[in-house]
Amino acid sequence: MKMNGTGVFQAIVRKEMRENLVWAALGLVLMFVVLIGSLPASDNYDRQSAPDVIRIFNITPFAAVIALMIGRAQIVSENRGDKWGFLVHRPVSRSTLFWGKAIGGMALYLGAAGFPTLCIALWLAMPGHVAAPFDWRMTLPAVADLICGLVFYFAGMLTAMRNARWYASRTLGIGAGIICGMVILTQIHTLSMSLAFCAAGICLTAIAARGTFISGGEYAPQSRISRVAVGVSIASGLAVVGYLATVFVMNYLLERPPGGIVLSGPSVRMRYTVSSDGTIVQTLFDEGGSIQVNDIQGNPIEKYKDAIARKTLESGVIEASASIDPDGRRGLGPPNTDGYRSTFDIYSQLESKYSDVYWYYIQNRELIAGYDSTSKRLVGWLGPDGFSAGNSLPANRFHGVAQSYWHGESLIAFTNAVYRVDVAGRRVAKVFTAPAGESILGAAETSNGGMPVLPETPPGFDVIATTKNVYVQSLDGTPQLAVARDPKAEGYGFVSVYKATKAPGEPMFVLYAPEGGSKLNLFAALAMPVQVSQINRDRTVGMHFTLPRPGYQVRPPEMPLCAMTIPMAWTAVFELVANYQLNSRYSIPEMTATWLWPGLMALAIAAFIFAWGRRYAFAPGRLLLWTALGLGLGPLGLALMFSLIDWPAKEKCSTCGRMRVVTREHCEHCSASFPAPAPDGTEIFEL
Amino acid sequence: MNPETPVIETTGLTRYFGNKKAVDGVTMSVPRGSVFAFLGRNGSGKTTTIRLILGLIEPTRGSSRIFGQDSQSLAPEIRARVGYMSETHSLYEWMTVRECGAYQSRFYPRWNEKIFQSIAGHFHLDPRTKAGHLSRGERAGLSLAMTLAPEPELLILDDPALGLDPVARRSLLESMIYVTRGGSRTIFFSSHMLEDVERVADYIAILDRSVLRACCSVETFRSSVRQFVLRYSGTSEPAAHLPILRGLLHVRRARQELRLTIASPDSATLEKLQTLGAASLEEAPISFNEAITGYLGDRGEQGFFLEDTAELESTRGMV
Amino acid sequence: MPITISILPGSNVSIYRQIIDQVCAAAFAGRIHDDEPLPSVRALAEDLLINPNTVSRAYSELAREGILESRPGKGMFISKRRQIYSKPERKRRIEQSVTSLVTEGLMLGFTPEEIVEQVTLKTKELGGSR
Repeated sequence: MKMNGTGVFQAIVRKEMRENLVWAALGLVLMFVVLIGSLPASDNYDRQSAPDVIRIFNITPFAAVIALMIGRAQIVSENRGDKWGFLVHRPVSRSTLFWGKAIGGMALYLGAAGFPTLCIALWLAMPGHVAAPFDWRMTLPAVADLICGLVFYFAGMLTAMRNARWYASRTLGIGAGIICGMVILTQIHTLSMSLAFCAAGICLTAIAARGTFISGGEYAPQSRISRVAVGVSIASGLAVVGYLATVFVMNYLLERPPGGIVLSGPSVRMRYTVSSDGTIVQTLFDEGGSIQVNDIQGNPIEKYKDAIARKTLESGVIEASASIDPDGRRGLGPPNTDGYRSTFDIYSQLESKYSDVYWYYIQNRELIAGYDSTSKRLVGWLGPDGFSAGNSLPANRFHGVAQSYWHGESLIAFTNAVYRVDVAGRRVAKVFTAPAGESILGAAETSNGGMPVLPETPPGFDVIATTKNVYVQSLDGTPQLAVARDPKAEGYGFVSVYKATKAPGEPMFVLYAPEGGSKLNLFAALAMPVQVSQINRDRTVGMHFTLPRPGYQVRPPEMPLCAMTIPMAWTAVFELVANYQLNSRYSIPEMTATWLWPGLMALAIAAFIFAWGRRYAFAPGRLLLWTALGLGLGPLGLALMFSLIDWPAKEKCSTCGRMRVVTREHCEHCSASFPAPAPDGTEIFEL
Repeated sequence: MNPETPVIETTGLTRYFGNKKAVDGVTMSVPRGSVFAFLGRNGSGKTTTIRLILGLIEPTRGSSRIFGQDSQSLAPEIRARVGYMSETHSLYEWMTVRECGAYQSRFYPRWNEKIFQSIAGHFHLDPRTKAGHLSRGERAGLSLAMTLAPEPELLILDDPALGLDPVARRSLLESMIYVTRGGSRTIFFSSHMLEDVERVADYIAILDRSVLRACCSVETFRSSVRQFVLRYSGTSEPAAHLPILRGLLHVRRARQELRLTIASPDSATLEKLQTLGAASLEEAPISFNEAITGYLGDRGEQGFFLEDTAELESTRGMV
Repeated sequence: MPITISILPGSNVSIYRQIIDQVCAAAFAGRIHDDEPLPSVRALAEDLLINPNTVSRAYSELAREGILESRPGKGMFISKRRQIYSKPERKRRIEQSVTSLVTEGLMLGFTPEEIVEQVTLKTKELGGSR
């Protein structure tokens, strides 16, 4: 008497793991090669950039490939013919068989992709291997990528299992993984959200794969939930392919930007700056450079009509920009510049040019660590009291989170004090202490744009912004200016201080920019005005200007051809969301372009689908659903229908003479049954 | 369950591949306890029918049942009672003989290890050999061992003797007869080995290009397919074109002789035979093999060899 | 002495009929004693590698014709009473055999007298042991 129940499941899992060990081994080798290949080269002559360790742990495409490979291999070896019969003719449910495969395959995948990652992480954690600090949080991108890979795992199973007439339509399921990967790489900043998104993707592709497995590869016999899951997976693949095809056609064949409903800035951008003669000007520029210079009323300035003159527009003007919203830096860029895919919360790299040692401000130590680029070992720590060599941490730490620390500058701001760090000399000097009742929000120094300091270079200054004021002081600490925060710049993200050193009296300006204000809506901020205060010679606040800016707009598609490929559902959603936020209004031609072309296409496709569905005797509910999908999804809906549905053959009805589908027992026109096959007189029946 | 209920029952079972009908309206039932042979030429739809019955693929129309349950939703308990061996003797090639048995045994609540060992031993299978390294006959033996060890009540075999040497075929036959011990176990198998079918089958069903044309006991079939010899003498010769004879399966012509194989000839047909101008008309005994082969072939007057036997004989003189 | 039955598949004669004919021939030739059991259905089926139903039907037919009888608990035996064929049936059967024999002899080129001689010799040889 043999056991059943869990014994069976374990047997299936073990069999799957043993059967596909080869693929896992291949994946393991691949992952090792990739990870070792992306380790920073040991002879790093490029002293300008410290090794970027966290980049190693962004493994999305490789995890995806390994997952796809294993998922596909598990299915492809026994999905058809006698092999399929041997697999499923057993006294277990097909669901059990599927989960046995899935558990085994996921274990193999996580081992193949995860074990090398773990090894590399351990290696990096050991001192002397890389000239950078290691924190286990740096492996979090790999965790998210491994989980994202599971979406590809089930997509691989789905691809191998699907019975689809054209092979390409089988692979469309991978689109779900691609979209998942793209979203977590480019849109999501936190690990928990990434994992949640991946979990949703995994549910989708797992349900689709399981349903397709249970039905033996067919679409029609699956349960409704499975069919929806398969539909969404295939639709994602179609969306990816459609998008790439449109971009390819528009960019390479027709050489026009795709347009579509995109968020785009004006093709000509505008910014405010200070000219060399000490006035505020408006510069218009495009990809080629500045094209026009206006005064703040918008009138072109004669002097700068000449391109050569425009090159010297900002001659002698020095400027420093400090953040005034500590949270504002977050979310400004893609996830790999802030969020868990970057070292944003772990450490900040200090400017280490021309130095043998790479310096990092380690946030949870509140100290600066230096790593020798040759030995790759920690040389020592820089604290408020200066340098202390060796591993032991100095007693005195910096306090408060470093705010407004930009790569390339030597100032670090903390809530109570601002320090200047001289990495070459391994010296730390306090340059500013916050007055009572004020906390420091950010600090910056004037930059030379990477140029060496020459005798004629005007002396720079430091800008420190606190909750109440903005301070400007010379590099040696001599105060130059202290002004209150501009109340009109409530919620703004950055303050910039300009000094026109070549103008008489060296006028200064304090300019507030909305970008980076964490409480402001990102799109709205782009359209908000900048607030500028002119500083009088006696260092009091003088004239105040509120200078408007054109924001971003929604740009309708340029060509009808492109417009027609956009699903109406996308247009409707986008219009609602984007237009509502940006408050932009379309002109009549733009309205037409946005709505007319996709609308006509949607109607045409819906009509076609309706006729086609009638031809193949769709049940009323099914007909309605697909017509609605055709209307809402346009060409995507049409492609989806042809990718999913297997069209039955048709035969002439022996009773009414019209073509009827072979899958239905009763003719859809005359309800006659199919006749038994015609006898030929040789029949011998007894049973 | 009622012992009278057939173990396999199909109703109008139909399957299309694209526009082509592989199985067309097959309605048959397999009685419990019988040895049921499923015959037909290559490509007539036998394997597809078997896969439909087992619920491995979906029918385009119609249905089938095993032990009263619809094939498309067979419960695991039913599958435990059905043994299936495919044409290619599917196995996991990387498993050793021992592992194959061990893996299979996990699935079946009723697994008789003695049967597995005895069949494996009969085929001289080394437990440590990988299944992929076995010869054709050995694979069949292993597959058979795995199929019979759970002591299934219904055995479905798709061309089990394919590619087997005579010794392996014999072992297969022995296993099939062994299975019939106990009386209520059923075997449903497809085969081209007519001699083996004649030995073991109680009933046969014949598929002719996707259509079921016969489903009866072997004796009924033998008594229904009859061969008539018409001899012509003197100057009379058999007509070049025969009138339409209902049930005509096969015609063989010699110089003064016509051999007609006819299925279920009725009195009208027998009368028609009298009108063909033959000097003598007798019924000749026909072997099972010939009867089946005649039945499977194209209906009517067909042949591979030259029709004009006169030409053949005249050239003979020239050699 | 135990009976040896062998069958030939692919013959014009069905297996069932071959068994019947062989048991009949052995019974009439006296090659089986009426106290020797015939092989059981299963044993014969497994020996000849045929369906037990075929053996069973053959035995039933032989029992119906009176050639075999079933003794409970012991198996099938040659029936003590032999003469169950009706006279016309016996006549028909012997006529069939004689026709076959004579036709064969004539085709082989024997004269009627030679054929009769053969028959006489054989009858003496086989019938003598009765």
